[in-house]
Amino acid sequence: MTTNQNDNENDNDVEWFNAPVNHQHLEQSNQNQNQNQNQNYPQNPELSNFSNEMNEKTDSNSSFVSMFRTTKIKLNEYRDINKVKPLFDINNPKEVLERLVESINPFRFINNKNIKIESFDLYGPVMIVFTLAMLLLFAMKLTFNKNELEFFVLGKAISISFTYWIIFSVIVNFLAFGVTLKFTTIMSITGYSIFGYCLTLAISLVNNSFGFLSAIIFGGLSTAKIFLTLFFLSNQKEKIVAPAGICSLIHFIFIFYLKFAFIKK
Amino acid sequence: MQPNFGDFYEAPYQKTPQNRFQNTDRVFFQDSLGQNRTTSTTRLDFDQDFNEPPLLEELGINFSHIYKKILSVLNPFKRVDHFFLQDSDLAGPLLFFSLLGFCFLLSGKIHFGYIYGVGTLGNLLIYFVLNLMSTEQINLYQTISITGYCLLPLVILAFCRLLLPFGFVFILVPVCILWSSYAASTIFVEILEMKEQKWLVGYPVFLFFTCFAIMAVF
Repeated sequence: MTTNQNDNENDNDVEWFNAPVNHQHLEQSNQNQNQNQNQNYPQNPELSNFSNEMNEKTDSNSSFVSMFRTTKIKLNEYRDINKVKPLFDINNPKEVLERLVESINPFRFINNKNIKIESFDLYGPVMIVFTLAMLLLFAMKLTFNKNELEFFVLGKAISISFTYWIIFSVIVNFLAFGVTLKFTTIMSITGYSIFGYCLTLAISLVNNSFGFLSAIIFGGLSTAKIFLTLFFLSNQKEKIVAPAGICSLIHFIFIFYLKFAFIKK
Repeated sequence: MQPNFGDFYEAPYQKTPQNRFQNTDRVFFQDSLGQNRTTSTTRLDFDQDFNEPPLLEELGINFSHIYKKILSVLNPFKRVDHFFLQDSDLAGPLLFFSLLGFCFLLSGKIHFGYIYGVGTLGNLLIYFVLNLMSTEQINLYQTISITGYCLLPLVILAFCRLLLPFGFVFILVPVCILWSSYAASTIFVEILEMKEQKWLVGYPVFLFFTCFAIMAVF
């Protein structure tokens, strides 16, 4: 796991999302808890040796155990509703429109390479994912057999869109070396990148002859956006090129899967 | 030798409070084995039972309120009365959802489970998103009642699908969806006091009603 460092320590107007999060402190507390447990409940010598080995493993960041433990700690932060509320707090609908336009516009990086993600939300991604589900449902209704069960079609549409969003954001979170972002910001970036899919599916539902071309254009623009954001946000730019390429390739292939699997003549 | 379970039986059960046995009498009788036992019988208080309000009033079904709510949904441009704020009525939504189901049934589609699933999922989405966006709170029953009453245009659409040809219905679909979503979003905005975010409130509602429209058309 990449440890999260502070994005902009020097700014005085630090808002809640860029606030410094001491994960080291949390990990230390967790280790202390484990030590206390070991003291309270003495185990067999073999098991105690095993537990010591586990603790040694967790100290190195490359094991799966530490990964799950850190995810558990991060999820426990969002148990309180008041910490989730700022993610959905939008005053103007124009903010969402600007972010939608930005998700297809990678040309912004040519002039301004020192990017900082100053504000983000999860309202847009949730709505985009539901629109994708609705478009898939519409496409399936046009083509599929009428005898097929209805709830099966709806479940397929919703499950594909949501699982793609979550799994892709998890992949980006683990592959992005040197990117100092929270998991929620990565979820917002990946969620807004799905807007390209919605555009291509809408165009190909209206007229299927433009479908392949629009898939290349909008899919390519959104993948370029993801690649460039990961490249310019990372501190280690030699290491990020291959993982960001893998992420963008997954994102570019999935649009063709959606286009050829769900929209038929 | 008989085992003595007395200690075991007394430990887990708590002593019941005295108020619970206000309407009960205790009766002593002998078992077939000759052991003394006790039972409790409920005593009916006729004066208390027959002075209750009528059943529809007790369930919260008020036909004049339902009529006014339907009129306010049919006239979305009129200023909203505060009936929606006062009571979360579930009688009207049940009527409209069942009417929608029967309209689908007449065209040979058994979609009752589908309506139930989509309704619960969509209402939960609207409930969580609106509560996270706004500073004020809204009840889940209120969201169900508002979306249920605003389902009326889609019931009309499902009924028109039975009679009219497909080309005419295809024009009527966006009109009905926009009508119902506009009516619902105005009510939500008035309850939660977020007039600047009306488009953001309207979009999940719009998605919720498009799902029913897709059901009605295909």
